[in-house]
Amino acid sequence: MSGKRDLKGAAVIVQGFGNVGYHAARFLSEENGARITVVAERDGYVANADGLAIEALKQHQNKTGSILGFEGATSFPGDMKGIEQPCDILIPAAMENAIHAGNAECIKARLVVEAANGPVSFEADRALRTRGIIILPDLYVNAGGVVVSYFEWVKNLTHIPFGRMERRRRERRNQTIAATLERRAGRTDQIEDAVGCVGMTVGHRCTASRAKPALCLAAP
Amino acid sequence: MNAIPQRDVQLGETSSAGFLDSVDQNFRHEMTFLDLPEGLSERIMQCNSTYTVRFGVRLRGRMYSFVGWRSVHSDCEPVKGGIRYASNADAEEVEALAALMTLKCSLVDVPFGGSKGALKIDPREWTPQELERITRRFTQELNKRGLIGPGVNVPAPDIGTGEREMAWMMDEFRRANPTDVINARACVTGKPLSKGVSPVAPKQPVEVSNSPSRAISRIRAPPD
Repeated sequence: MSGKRDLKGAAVIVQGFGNVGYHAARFLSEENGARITVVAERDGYVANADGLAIEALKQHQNKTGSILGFEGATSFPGDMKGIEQPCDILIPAAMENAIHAGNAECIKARLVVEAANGPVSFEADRALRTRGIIILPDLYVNAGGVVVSYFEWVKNLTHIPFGRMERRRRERRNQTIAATLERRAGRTDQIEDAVGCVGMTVGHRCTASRAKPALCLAAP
Repeated sequence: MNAIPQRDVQLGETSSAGFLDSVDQNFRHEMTFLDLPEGLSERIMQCNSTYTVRFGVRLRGRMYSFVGWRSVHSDCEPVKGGIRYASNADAEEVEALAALMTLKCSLVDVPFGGSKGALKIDPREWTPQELERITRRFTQELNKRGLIGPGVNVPAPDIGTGEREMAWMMDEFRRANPTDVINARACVTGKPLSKGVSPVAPKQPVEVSNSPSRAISRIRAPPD
């Protein structure tokens, strides 16, 4: 995105504030420091250039049945042009064909992340890419849903709790790290004690950086 | 015939018209990069079967008719895909979504073919008790045709459905197949934690060799 590699402060528009849109907005704003400037729904959109308070907006939606009328934002009832506002990242997380030949020219995002299934039509896909807008395809972006479903299915069939499998895997990994460090350092004291931390931290980072973006945008 | 309480068409309700065409166009375009024997790409692209079911449920003192679909795109069994409850659902949309599921599953290398289902219903029009009866009836219809089961077809939540609906479907499937209770839970995914998706953490205390307790406390901290 024009050399910009940090999500911090990036303006993000989310269409659809259900499971997928809500979690994407939440993680992007809470963990990555992005500004969710617009949340669009079927009955209009809400906007706040400084970034919407996602958790409060969800509570407002749960209470009133709509995102409109949220205090910390300007509401645009019945206005479907929420996704056409300028932004860095547009996340269509509602329905298929949200971006079609009719509105593709009005999209001002630099990156479109297909969180819904097929939110960009064939013609719109061409139109966006001609204008240099990058599209992350749905098959990648929301595949976390089916991956987790696979694990659930496997777990139901094998009748083995995942926790037990994970524990054995972690034991093995930590032992490998311990052995490697011992070999390299030529000493065995202290390393045994420290290696648990190393193994665990590395594992945790991998989970956080790789799995989560896929999972949080998961549409089954 | 259709006297389901109708809601005015919502503002901005996106139309799925042309969605299947759009998916097919994408498919055809990508197929030009592959060197496949003539006619094979067309075979891969098409949905193998789409089952339409109409059933009645007696609610609110009268009979209501519902229409639902389950489309199987590839016969790489079991097939996988969500079930959506939406008032604008139709067979074409379900076929397009089933095709995307085949591609998605092969892309991330999970051993499923693609499938998708839908029930033409606005869940907001019905109480949870009514939705349960409708969902259970729909499950019976799918079960009759072999369109739900751990080894054949494994639905999941989609728009308008969630873990609650999955729990109902699983329960109904288990009742209908009492001889295979041990694997019946795998007939749907996206179930609530209490219904077969236990949290990752095991019940017994974690004892990881080589890892002192402070390491465990460290991994609980958010990543930097």
